[in-house]
Amino acid sequence: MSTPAAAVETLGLGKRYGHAWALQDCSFRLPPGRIAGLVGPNGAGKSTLLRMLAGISTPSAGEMSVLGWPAGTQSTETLACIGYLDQDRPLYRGFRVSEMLRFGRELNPRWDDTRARRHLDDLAISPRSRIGRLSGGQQAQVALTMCLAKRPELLLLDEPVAALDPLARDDLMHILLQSVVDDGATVLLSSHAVADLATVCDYVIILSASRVQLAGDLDHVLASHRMLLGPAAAAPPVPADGAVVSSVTTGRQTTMIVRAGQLIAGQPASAQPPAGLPIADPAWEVVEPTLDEIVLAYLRHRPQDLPQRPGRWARGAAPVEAR
Amino acid sequence: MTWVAWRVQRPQILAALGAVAMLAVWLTATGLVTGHSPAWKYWTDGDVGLLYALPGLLGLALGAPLVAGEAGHRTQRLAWTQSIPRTRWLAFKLLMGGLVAAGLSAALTALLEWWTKVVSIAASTNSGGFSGVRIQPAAFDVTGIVVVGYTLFAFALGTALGAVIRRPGWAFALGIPVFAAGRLLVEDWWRPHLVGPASYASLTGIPSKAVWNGWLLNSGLVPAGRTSPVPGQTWQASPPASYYTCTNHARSMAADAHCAALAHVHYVMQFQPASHYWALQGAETAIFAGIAVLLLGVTVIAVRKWSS
Repeated sequence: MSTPAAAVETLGLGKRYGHAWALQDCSFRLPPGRIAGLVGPNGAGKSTLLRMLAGISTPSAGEMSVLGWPAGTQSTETLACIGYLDQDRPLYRGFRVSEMLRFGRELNPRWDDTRARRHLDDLAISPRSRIGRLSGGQQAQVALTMCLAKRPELLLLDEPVAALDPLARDDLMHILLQSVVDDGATVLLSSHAVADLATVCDYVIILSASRVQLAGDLDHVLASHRMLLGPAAAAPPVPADGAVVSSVTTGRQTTMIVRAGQLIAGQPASAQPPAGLPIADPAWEVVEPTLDEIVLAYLRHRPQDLPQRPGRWARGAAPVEAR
Repeated sequence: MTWVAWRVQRPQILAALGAVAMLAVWLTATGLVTGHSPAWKYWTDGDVGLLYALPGLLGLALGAPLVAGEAGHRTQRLAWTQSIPRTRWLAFKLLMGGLVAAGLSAALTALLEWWTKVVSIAASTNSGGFSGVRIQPAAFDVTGIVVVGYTLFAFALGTALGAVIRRPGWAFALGIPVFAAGRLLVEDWWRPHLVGPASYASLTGIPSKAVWNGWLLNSGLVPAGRTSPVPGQTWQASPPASYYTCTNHARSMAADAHCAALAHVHYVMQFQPASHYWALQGAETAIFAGIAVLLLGVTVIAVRKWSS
């Protein structure tokens, strides 16, 4: 297979359930070989997006391509390249663990049985055990093993660390990094534990209110945002346009997250130095924010940015600047 | 994938196998006992009702959970993200379930061929009950190849309802009345005309041996020279009044016949003779197999469009 320019590319992708849009105007481009974190609050559309990319849910609007193939391609070849971990960890509860592995072996040409058995052996999950008798965490591990043993080129993982203990989380992150290095895989994982993402991800997509708020390289995201700390009484040092992602006043201090690239009007973002913003007012302190703080800022961003939507999300509302 | 199809459907297949095995033991036992002593005949009358329902229950039990059973724990999301297109996955499962349904019903029919024969011999020495004339619905519905057709119809009905409703229990429950309605409609409205019926006419109204051994559809007095009522009239239409005034005074068969001849009417019995058994069996099996194919088409479309 020729390497596509983007592992995942979506354009105006949307999913509607009845009248409500679970995901709307979703456009982003994930380069191959990245570990991308998909963050957002519950109900932001993370699972919906992953299900559509995995081919089990049909988009209501927009386009997408996965590893260069258009949406809805259902062939052995395309399916073999995508590993999907559902948020419910569906497994056949009446099966033994060994039967679950045989299921994977029978249905996947690239199946790595040694890897799967070794992984479960390390976790002390017996192949004789019934799936239904395993704990939630063990079931999550079996589901994850099934997904990894398929040796896909693209891993779509919905909340992979949700049911795992801290040690298992660490192991998983290690395994993911290794499969990216060894197999050249691309990983798109969702989580609301932003701290986990910051250590492993090099790409971030922030989803909130059914829309993409931001998608980009982690380094670039970190470099292009600044946190401004100043007295609550002082006038903001930046114009109150799209540059301000969020502004929170607690007591006598105001904390703002701004997009550095938009601080100087009339100049393209690339021409502006990420550090050393031209803020003359000595009352304001400029700090580089953490991913956590940026994510939180975008989640807060929502109410001011998207004007009143009576009850339902109206289609075609002004899109938030993505990328 | 063959192993996967077998393993996923194993609980239903084993349950169906168990039910058929239990019935087979019961049929063998009652058949042997009845054959030995016809006095035991009354034991078996109640079983016949179950025999009519069994193809439906068997087919629905195998068909309803085939697709819908995956929805319970959302395992379709696991199955459809392995390296197998979902239509191929469905084809293997349908083939596995369909072969089991057809195989079990064929085995059951083979046993019933023997059982109905034994029981009908017993019936001829007793009064009433299961007649065992194979062209008549009581025996026709449980012998020959139609049983396989009914079972495949129920199986396809179960899969289609399951794929649309996505709940195996509801698919099964809804399948029972639909199956029964389909069976009764075909039996009452379609089967009599699948092959052109035979007619026997007489002036006295005494049926021939062929009529006794056939499936009587209609009978009545019709104008002489006709084998069916005058268009626009039913089999119950009254003959000329002169016929009754005549028969009121008739004291013998010959006199009755004379009355009929005078009134220019005769008794006609329209029936399916025993010789039409296989033609009717083939035609009716084809009807249900055809409906099954259409229903399987519905299942395939529903699975392809399934967005979860």
